Amino acid sequence: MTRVFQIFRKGDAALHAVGTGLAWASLPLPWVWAFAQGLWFRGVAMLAVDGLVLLLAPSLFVTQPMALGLVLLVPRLIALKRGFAWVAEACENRGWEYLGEIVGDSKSDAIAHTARAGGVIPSDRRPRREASPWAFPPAAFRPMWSVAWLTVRAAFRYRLVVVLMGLLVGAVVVLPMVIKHDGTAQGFTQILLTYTLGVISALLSLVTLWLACGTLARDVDECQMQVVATKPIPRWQIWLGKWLGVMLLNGILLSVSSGAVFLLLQWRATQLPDEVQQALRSNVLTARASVREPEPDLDSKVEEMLALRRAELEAKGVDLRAFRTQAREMIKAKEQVVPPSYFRRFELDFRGAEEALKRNPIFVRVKFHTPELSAKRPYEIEVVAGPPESPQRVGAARSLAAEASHEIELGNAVLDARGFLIVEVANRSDTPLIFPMEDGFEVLYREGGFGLNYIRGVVVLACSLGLLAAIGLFAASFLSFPVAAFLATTVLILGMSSGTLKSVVEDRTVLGFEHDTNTQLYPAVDAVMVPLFELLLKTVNLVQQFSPIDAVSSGRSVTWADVARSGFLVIGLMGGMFAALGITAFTRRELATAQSNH
Amino acid sequence: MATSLTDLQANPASARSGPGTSGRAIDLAAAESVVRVSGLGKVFKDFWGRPKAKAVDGVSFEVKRGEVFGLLGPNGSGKSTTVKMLLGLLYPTKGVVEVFGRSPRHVATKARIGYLPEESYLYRYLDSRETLEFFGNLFQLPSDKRKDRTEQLLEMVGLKNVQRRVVGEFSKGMQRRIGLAQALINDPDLVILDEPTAGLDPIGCREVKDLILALAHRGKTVILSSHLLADVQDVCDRVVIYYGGRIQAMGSLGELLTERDSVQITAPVLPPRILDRVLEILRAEMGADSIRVDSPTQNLESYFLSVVQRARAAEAKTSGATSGGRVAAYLKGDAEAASETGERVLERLSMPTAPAPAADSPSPASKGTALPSADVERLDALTRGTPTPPTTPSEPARAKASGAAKAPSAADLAKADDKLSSLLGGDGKK
Repeated sequence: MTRVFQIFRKGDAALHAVGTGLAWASLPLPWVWAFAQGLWFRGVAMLAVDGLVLLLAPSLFVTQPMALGLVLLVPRLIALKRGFAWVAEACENRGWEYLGEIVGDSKSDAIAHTARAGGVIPSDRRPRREASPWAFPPAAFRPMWSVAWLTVRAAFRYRLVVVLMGLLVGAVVVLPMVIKHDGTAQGFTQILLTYTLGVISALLSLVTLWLACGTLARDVDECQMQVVATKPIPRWQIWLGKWLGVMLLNGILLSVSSGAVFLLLQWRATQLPDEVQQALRSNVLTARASVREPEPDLDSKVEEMLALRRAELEAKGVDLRAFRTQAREMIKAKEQVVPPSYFRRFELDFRGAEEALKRNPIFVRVKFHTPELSAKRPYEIEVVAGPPESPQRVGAARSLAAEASHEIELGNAVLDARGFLIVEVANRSDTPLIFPMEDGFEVLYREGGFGLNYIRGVVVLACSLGLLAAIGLFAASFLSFPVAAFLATTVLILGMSSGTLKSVVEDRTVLGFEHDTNTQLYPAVDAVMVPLFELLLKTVNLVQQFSPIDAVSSGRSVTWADVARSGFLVIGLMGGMFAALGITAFTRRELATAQSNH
Repeated sequence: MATSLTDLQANPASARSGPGTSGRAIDLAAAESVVRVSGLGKVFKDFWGRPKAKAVDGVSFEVKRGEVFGLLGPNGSGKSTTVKMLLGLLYPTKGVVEVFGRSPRHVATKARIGYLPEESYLYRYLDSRETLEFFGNLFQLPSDKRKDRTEQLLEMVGLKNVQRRVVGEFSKGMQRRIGLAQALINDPDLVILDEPTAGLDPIGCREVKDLILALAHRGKTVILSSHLLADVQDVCDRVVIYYGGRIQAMGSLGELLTERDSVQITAPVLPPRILDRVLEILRAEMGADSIRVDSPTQNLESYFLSVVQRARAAEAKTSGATSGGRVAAYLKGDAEAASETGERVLERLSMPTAPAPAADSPSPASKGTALPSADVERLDALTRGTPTPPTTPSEPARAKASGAAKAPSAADLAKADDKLSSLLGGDGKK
């Protein structure tokens, strides 16, 4: 069988042949193959991966065989695809001169033919190339794919990927070493999952903005875009190709870093005491659905109250805005406060989850505040689940600290005839307890495994990076690199300061009130800025309404619906909006000046 | 040694559709229009939208299929702006630009254009092969064709041996070579070259010019913007000369460059007897002061090329770009490719049209064979005192090209070796 070889020459006589296509010989032990070819750096890297798997195998082989297999597979696939290209590159770096490709039965045959032709490739031995019937991607997408691949290649060639990979994996490994957990499942999770994923998310967010701005703006600033734009590729494809490239890069970085977190988490978990491991596996390393009571519509209740008393209040000259605020707080308190010896009944909609509830125990997650200034002592509460008249009610009593979340396992609970779960939380202490509407009470139950849930969480994380990439590219579509980077970073900071935005929108003022008259200091400014802040807040909330890191860290389900919602809202809607604006600006932009930019 | 005669007598104007410098006859009236520019204007504005500079003003011209069209002008005269409007990189403030009958921003139009910018605007982190693969993909070339063309182009521009070195490590000349290769990956119908020979060594310059001529012979249209007037003169059929954003002159090189009031005759060395007779006739007709007799000199480019060819024959090693190989087969067309396999472009295109005289001691007979017949007729006519059609502008250029291939004598070579060596910092002695 004939194959195609690359022929290299050194000096006048020495010839060397390197294969083409897939390097099958590298598949079993790629690092051995790499060392045999003199590819020392790559050999060491692949040996390190295999060594890592060997180290983790005793602990994880039974529980995570798929993950370990995947880690083994990746370097093998890379070596299979790129192996001969690495060897050819190494040959040229060592001073071998590339002569061309030749068809031959073996390396020695290829060399012999070249030598017989006097050190040149005989024309009758040049390979005839035929179009591949399964070419990827299809011709219509090839330009866009090329731009995407170029973006990835640039990041690799500028060593950005290596540096980032080092930083990310370093953070994942070093952070849990530096910060010690408290020995509980929650503490362990917080360090190994919440913090590490948070660092990865923050780092990748910054890098995504930087990369997205740079990849487009620098191409325009440094004039490479002048050459690309004169080729038959529509500008929208250039723009989307860049976005795709940034996302491919994010995909690589996110896969490696989140994979490292996953393996480290699983490995470290095996070193915990049995009871902590048990708690970890039932509370965190799982996928639990969360059910809460829908939040009451406070505003409509306030308006109802106001409607009843409007005439009286207006007659007394009461400030209606102040009344609304106080009424709202009063209604909210009524919903949240459970006085001593009283209980609060929660009705949770479990329709559609009846089967899951039969198989799995429920966990009640509570968090409360107290009006006491120093709330150091424990407070007694009792939780009972099931229809009030049912003999199968399950319950538990606990002494719990205020200001923290607690989980209470109740066992298998029974639903009422409507498919609702009735849970009563009784205050057995001597102080009123306040269960916040946002996170004071919820019921959790297992509905899947941790691995898939984790992957879904990472995908949701990638969606937010997709939006950031679109924002960066949008800025770079009409601005130079430094200005685009500044604008994109500002957007990121605004996104992270949603608290400020929220208080502005709630107070309806940016610059505050006059203390004496309680009127806005600068109404004209507020008239413009408050709607703008409102829009920004809505946008930020749309993106931040679901935190995959919190969900995964607390063992809550990241459902496919969450993934689809993130994909649609964050990438499709928000990212699409920035993409439309960016592509329009980029298409209308003149990509050259009269003179060279240099 | 040849003898040149210059007569200060006026000549009639050359024909509008005469052959260009390249010696190719183009019927401008019948040829298909490739580029049409009409009333083109471009005003650059400042941040506030106020006019800042009028770069191009009321420019109109048309470029026909198969033409090599030159844009000349000093810096800031508007030629780069025009090129960028032809490419759709800048948008006209007024006027119309049509390339192949459509807007230059149309994707289908771009598929037929090859562009070499004035600087190396290529990705510094890609190597030569990756660069060509990338641009080949933008043209949606299937993988087999893309790889074939990449191979041929790398060989043509002499970068095959350094194909895995990234472009950022290349010298300026090597960057021009890879830039030229990317401009040709799609076998374009229109090639726009902005300062194509800038940064190239004389061999590279010559190869680029040869390539331009080869493309034009295949019916490709070439638009060339250059400061190097000699380059433009060597290859262009027609030129426009810009100044202040306006076209100051336009026409074929014949129209623009022919000195209407003088005649130059180039002949093999004439025996003194014949030369005296010719001069006698001329002096009798024109007066003694208006006749000049001297020997034409070979230009430095031609001489340099011959020195390098000798060095290459001695297999001197280089770590940079090698001399370009044969023109990529697909750029020559299939039939042409089949007939010229193995022929090096430098050698092929530097050869004179007629058989070259022997290198060392050319005999008068062989020189007589090489002399274009039109010159003999004109000499006869001059001797007889009857008016003849003027020499077309292609003739001197072709004569120059012929001269390039003639091997100089050993003494001349030694003298020029010394000159070159001293120019390059050597002691002038081997």
